[in-house]
Amino acid sequence: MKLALLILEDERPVREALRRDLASFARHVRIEEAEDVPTALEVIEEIDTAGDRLALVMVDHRLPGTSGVDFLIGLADDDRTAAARKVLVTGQADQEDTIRAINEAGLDRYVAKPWQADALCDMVRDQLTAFVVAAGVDPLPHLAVLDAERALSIVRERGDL
Amino acid sequence: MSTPTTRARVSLPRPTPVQRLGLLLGSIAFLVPLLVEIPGLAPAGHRMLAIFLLAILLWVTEAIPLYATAMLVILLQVLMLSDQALFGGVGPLTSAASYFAALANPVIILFLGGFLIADGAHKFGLDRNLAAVMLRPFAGNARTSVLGLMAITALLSMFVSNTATAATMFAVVIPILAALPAGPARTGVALAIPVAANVGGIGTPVGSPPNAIALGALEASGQGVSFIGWMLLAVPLMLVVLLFAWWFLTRRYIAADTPLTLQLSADFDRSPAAILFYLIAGATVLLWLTEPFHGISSSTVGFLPVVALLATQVMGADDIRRLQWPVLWLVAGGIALGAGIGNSGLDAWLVGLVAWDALPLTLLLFLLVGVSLGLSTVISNSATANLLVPLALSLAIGLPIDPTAVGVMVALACALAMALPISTPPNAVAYATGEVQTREMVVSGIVIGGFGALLLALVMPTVWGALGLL
Amino acid sequence: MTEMGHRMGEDGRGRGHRMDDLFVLVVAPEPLAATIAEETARGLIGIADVACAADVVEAAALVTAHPERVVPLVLITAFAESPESTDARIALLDAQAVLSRASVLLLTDRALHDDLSLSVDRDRLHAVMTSPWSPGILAWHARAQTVRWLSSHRPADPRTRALVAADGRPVTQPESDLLRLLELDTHEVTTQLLAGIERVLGPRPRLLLPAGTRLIHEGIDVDAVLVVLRGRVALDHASAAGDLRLHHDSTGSVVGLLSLAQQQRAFFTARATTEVEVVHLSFEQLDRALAVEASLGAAMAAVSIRALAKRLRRADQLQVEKTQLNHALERERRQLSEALHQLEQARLDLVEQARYATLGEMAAGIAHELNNPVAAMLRATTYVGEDLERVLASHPQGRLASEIFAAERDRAPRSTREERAARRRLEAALGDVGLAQRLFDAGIEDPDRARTLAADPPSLDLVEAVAGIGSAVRNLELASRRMCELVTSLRAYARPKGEPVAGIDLHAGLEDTLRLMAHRLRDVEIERNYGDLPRIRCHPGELEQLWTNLLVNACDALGEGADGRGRIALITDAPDAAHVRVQIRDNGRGIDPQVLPRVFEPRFTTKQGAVRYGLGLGLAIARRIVDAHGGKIELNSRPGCTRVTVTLPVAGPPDEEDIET
Repeated sequence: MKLALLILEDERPVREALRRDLASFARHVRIEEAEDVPTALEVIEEIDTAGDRLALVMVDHRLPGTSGVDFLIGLADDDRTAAARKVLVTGQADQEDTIRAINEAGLDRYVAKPWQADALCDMVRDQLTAFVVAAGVDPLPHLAVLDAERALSIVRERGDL
Repeated sequence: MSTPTTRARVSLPRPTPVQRLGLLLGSIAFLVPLLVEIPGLAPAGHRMLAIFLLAILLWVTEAIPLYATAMLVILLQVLMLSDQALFGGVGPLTSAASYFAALANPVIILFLGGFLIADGAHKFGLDRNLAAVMLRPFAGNARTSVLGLMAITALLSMFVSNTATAATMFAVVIPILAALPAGPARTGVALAIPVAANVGGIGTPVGSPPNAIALGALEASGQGVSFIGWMLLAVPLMLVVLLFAWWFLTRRYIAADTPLTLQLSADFDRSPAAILFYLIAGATVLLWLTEPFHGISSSTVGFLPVVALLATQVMGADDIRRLQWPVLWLVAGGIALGAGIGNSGLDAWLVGLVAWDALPLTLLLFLLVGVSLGLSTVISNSATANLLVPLALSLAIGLPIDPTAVGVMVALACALAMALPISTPPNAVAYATGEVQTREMVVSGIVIGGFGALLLALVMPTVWGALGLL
Repeated sequence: MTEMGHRMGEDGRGRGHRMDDLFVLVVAPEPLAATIAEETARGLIGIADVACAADVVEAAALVTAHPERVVPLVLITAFAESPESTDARIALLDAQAVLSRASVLLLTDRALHDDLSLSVDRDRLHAVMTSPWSPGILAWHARAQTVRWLSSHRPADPRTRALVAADGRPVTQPESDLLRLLELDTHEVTTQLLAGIERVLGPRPRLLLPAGTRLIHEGIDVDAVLVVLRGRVALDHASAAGDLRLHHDSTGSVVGLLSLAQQQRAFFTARATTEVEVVHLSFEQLDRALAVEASLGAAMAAVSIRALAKRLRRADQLQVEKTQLNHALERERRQLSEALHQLEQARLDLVEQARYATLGEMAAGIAHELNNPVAAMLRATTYVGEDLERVLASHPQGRLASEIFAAERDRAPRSTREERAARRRLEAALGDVGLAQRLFDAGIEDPDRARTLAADPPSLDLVEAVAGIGSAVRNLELASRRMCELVTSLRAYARPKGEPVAGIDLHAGLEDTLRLMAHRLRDVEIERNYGDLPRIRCHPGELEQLWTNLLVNACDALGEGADGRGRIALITDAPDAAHVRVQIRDNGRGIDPQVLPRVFEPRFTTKQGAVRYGLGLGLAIARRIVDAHGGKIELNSRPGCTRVTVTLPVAGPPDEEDIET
């Protein structure tokens, strides 16, 4: 079982930049990209079929068709993805939408464009850890992409079985 | 977290092929002794053999969780071998309560105290602060630093579970690892911790579950070992193996000029609760070490901190909830299994299977240690001990050797198994850091474990005898 | 008839000295007519002759037969047995122009008439007499009416002069004291009054008062009258708006009469405006004089009536003036309010324009500042690519690296779905997801090549690195091109106003606007249906604002309640050689038919504190821009289809009229 990270962003250069900044995660985390919501839903289906867990969704606020926020709200209602951490990566989000994202989709983080690669990686690490902790996933296989201290505190409670 | 919290989804894990096989074979193995008449085996022995075979297959294949198997063992014993058995006709049987009692066996109580102290140590940051303080004398070059790291890990591991020790130490060390140049040095440091945690676990009865299982089985056969008595038996071996491991790991992986500085800042919690905890924990350890003087059994002592910490509210219900109950239940299952084997006469039959007398003692011990080591390399140490300790103690009945030595040897041998990531949880943590290749773990595990096993099988009985410990 | 009227008109105005024959016409049945005529003729000796007609028809025939005759008076009888109403008969007479000017004297034997309303209303009844009449009365009446007619219609006639005094009053005097006195001029009556008083009271001293002396004080009891012999007096009334001068010319010669009559405090302050000579008469003196000399009463009444009539006339005049003034005021108030409204609209327009102007300046500033860095960036990306190729040329694996670099730099965009599928194929071929991802990111999709590279880590590293540079260069170039386009659009948008620019491609402007609005149009499908257009002369910046406003409007319409996906169609064509036409069509909810006629009126709507276009100012500004270009804008709307059509002349705005912004 792998943790999966979904980037939903319609602009290719931005997607590529995100992927490149997150390259250090790629060995341990399944990183998927989607340019629109239908593709994203396909990807989620694929992740689920492969037995992986969607741990983190990074969504652009402005998307063709439906807004990123609506997509996040949809995720919150789907029990395959409800536990996934939700991050809005956006250059412009109006207050109303952001409030909706927080209240209705349980938005976890808000990343403003342009982002700093280090801060982005820290954020992703933090969110993946939060997912692992909350979802009760064994952190050891994913230790490399997690916050070691928090992840290991789950391990230490297991004892010597 | 999110406001629209949906109910957490409980998804059943899909059983692996091995697990399916375990379930299938376990069922068959369970049925065979019940259906086939085995000559020389009492009727109760047939039932116990069925349970034992099922336990072996379930523990080895982990078809169901280890602690579930342990509970299953107790349930089956109650249903098949107690006064509440569904089908009688196998002669007089012990009470069901005696099987359930395994859950509150004195050894379990001892562990309960150990666990609570270990959790408290973490809660108040004592583990980390002790590590920081004790690392200081070892500052110097990379190799002495690693020695310090191993010494502290081992020391913590004597009182805290191996897993927790490894988790704590890795939480401290991972940032330091990241600062090291990629290469063997990282591997060396990453291996030093699980090795020290595994080996350190043998140091005290509360260090790891196999110790408790052995202790429980020995006590059941009236051969109790005191806390300090165990330490005298195990610590010498522990020290030698640790030193050897340090020597081996540093020579193999860590160049003397590696820029490794292990300096941690100690920041002891000085709140009244913390100070109260230090006092209670210190008193408990002191009482454990001084058992010969006051004669209070280690289990009783182990129950003191439970009462004291809860009464003073230094620790509370949440802390109790966080205790590693699965481990305690696994140990309880092992104890119940051992008791069942003894009670049902299965032990006598097992001994009678082979003419053990014909084999030299040394070879026998060597085999015993080897089997323990091999089995616990691939399955849980605790499960191995659960299976092998009763067998070994049965075997010891007919051998010219103190059963205590045999029980302790099996428990120690289980702890020396560390050749694979799956061998022990500390190994799994080390492997998860990504700094250790399986190959390196196999090499170091075989060398260090092999060295320890040889020492244990060939030298220790003599040493124990010479020291007059047995 | 017209000939006669003409001649008579000439007689009346041009040759007043000529002695026309005057005939008084008697319309009565025989034998009464003869009696009447005989008596009438007696009264009119030396003035006019008398002609008789039995009825109105004959009368008409008579005047037609003698067009030279002038008729000052018609005597007409109205007896009970008359079949026609008197009004109708008089109306028949009036059909003759000559007769319509004549005075009408009605002789009647009836006690009550209900058939004269029309004649009274038209002022065609001058006297009514009862028949039979006292002898002599008819003659006297006829004469008086004729004389009156002459004095008002023929003042220059010698006969008139003989009959009427120079001051216009008839030479014959009224018989009653009062009427006789009323005929006299004010001064004369006053003198008579004073003479009478002096007869009773003995000589009254004359008081000589300088200008400014107050004769009566407002609000104080009046117990005397002042007879003004010489000089002028004004009557002032104190009001909230200051002293009002109510009478000056209309004061009259006896001051204080009104107050005296009503035994009230004075309503006015009487003030001498010149030096005045007055006689002071206390109430008791006046009383005594009137008691002793009865004839004084008539003089007093005449003086009073004259004074009061003057004042009343002035009051009536004031009332008329006041009403007219009120009308004028109301009209001005309406004009003011209209002007204010227009001013407010103009102000709002100006605010909006100022906002645009500020935005425009800012945009121009930013565009200017961004231009150089963006240009430098765009060049730099090219240089990086070129230099990298050179560097790679010296690398042992340079060929491979160059190839990977170029492939990655020029890689065409694919959908994430396709990319994922390609990656899956590679994963399946290699069996290692992590490695497949790395290779895929480096642009390697061929499994064989991937395997070769996977077995050669140094090459793989190199490939990854150059692929990374390739995609970075591509993205840089893409980004800087986008910025370039934005800057260009901004500059066009903010182009300072001035002379219209010729040779403008309308489509380019539309595209610029679409690009600038890309963020608002993301969810909208834009359908372009561009025709072949000549280049036009226009203010490109203004037109971009026009397109912006129209597109924003369309967007807003789509925003609320559009079914399915919003679609905006842009259709351009050239209806004739001199015009181009742009249609912007949306499939939004349409405009409320009630609002439709007023969509181009400037209206200001705010929503959440921000100016919203909608049907607010946006379309008003749009129309102004179109108007200024000498073009035409039309809007049709029904739910699901709203179409704005802008037609612009190819030749551009009329020369003399620049856009006033």
